Amino acid sequence: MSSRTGRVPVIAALVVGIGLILAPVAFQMFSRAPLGGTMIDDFEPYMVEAKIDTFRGYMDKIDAAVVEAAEARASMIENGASSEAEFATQYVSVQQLTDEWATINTDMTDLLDRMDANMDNYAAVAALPPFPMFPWFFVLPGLMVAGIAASILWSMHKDRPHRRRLWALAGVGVAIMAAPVAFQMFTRAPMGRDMIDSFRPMMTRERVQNVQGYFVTLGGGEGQMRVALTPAYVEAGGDSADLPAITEFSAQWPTIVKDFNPMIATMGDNVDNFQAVDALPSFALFPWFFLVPGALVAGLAGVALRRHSSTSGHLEAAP
Amino acid sequence: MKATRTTTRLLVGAIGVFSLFAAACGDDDDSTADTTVATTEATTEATTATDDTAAPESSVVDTAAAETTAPNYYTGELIGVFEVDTGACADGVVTGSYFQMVQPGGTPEAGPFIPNADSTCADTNYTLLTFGSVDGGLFTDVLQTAPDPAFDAAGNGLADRIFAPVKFFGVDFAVAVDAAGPPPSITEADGVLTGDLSALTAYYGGGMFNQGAPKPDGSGTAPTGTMDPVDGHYTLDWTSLIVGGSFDGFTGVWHMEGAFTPAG
Repeated sequence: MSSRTGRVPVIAALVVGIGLILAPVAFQMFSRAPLGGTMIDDFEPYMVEAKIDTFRGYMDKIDAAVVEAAEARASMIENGASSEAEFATQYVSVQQLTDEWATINTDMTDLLDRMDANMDNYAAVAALPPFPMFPWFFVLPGLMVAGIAASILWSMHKDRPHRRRLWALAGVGVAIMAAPVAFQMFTRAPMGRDMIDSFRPMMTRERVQNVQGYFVTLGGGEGQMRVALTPAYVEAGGDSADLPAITEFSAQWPTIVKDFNPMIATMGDNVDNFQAVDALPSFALFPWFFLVPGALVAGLAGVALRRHSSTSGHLEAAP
Repeated sequence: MKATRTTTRLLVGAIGVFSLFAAACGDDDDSTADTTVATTEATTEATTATDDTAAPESSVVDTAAAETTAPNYYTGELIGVFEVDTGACADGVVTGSYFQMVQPGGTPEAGPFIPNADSTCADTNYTLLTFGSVDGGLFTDVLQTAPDPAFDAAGNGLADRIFAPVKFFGVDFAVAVDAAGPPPSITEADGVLTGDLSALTAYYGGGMFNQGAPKPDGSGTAPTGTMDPVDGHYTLDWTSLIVGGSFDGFTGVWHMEGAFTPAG
């Protein structure tokens, strides 16, 4: 009877160990976690203040050029160089940019704000152990717990000494509990959750396609400002020196393309990766995935040790 | 055996003389096609009937046939350079080689296309292509890779072997064959071209975009085209969906034409 009751906590520890082994399979961590790692790596060049500032600078330059294009339009219509209808036809790309700029600016600024606001969160997540290792943080301790528990049960069955292994089991449980503290998961994981929550609205296929569309609108508008609108403005009696923002926009455009291209690509190429990470249990829960099983294993080992001691004492006291 | 050869030579010579006569008397218009088919068959039979020693006589026949038939000098696997006729726009008609980019959800036939304000065409949906200053066109069986570096500091593509870099949205895009290959291959059968351009890559704004046909994974369709069997003037068309990157979902539409010059 006493031997049977002594086995119960060890069997429970075995179940916890098997649960740890199976958890990554249940959460598809082996496939999803590496994708999260890829996403973290890909976003690294953009999650720095200087880069975000650069992009904000581009938005300001475009904004100034759009304002200037609207002024040039008004001037050309006023001096009779073009009617509203002619302008809309002849400079359709400029018109489209000026019409859509408010939406583009709001949306792009929102993206930059989200990235800017998550600098610290990103840094915290990037400082966690590499994502591809995540599943192994469950599997390896689970194997240790299950292995030790199984060996204890075998010894119990054979009536062999197993006290040291019970201590070992308790030690592994404590180590599992300590892991989140060692990796600062209690502070970093909630920050990861915040970043995932914040990125969720921007990491969708639809949003990325919108940004691609903005790029087309911007490129078309810039080209027509440079190739058609500015010469027509000059021909209508204006001075190209009066369009410094358009000139600056055009001068900067190749650089803007060079910088925006990979950022849009990074967003687009990581939509699936983001969704894989988002499908994992919430980051904030991760420390508890270690703390709870660790505490259980340590506690169960403690109970087994106590029963083992009382059983040994009882046997020793027996005549 | 000797008697047979002599007979064959006489037969071939007679056909040659007859062909010359027919060519001199024949109509240059509609009947030419008929004549071409007929003469080609006769020539083939005559050539088949002769052995190696009859070759000189056969060449006489071929020379005569060239005036009346359209022997296909450009068939099978075409090794050489597909020179690029520069694109041009006049009176709303686009000729020569050009590129278009279809927006996601569009079709190569109907668009919508990305208008390129830098296009020299009135219809800015067309971006006109010019032959590359280094090679003058597309070589088959050769990896016409991009230079290293492939971009200048502003992100302009620098490859200048197949096409000259062309401004698109304010930035030069360039085309080269990815170093991983395979080298382009084009074959002709019955006047129709097809082949493998899967490693063609566009360089734009610091990024690389596969513009091959079929795609490297075998998806998509192979290029198609036509070949004039006499003068080697060809057309080659293909489309290529961009997968991934900043232009994910956009489709490049390519039309190349010019003269094919065999290697050697």
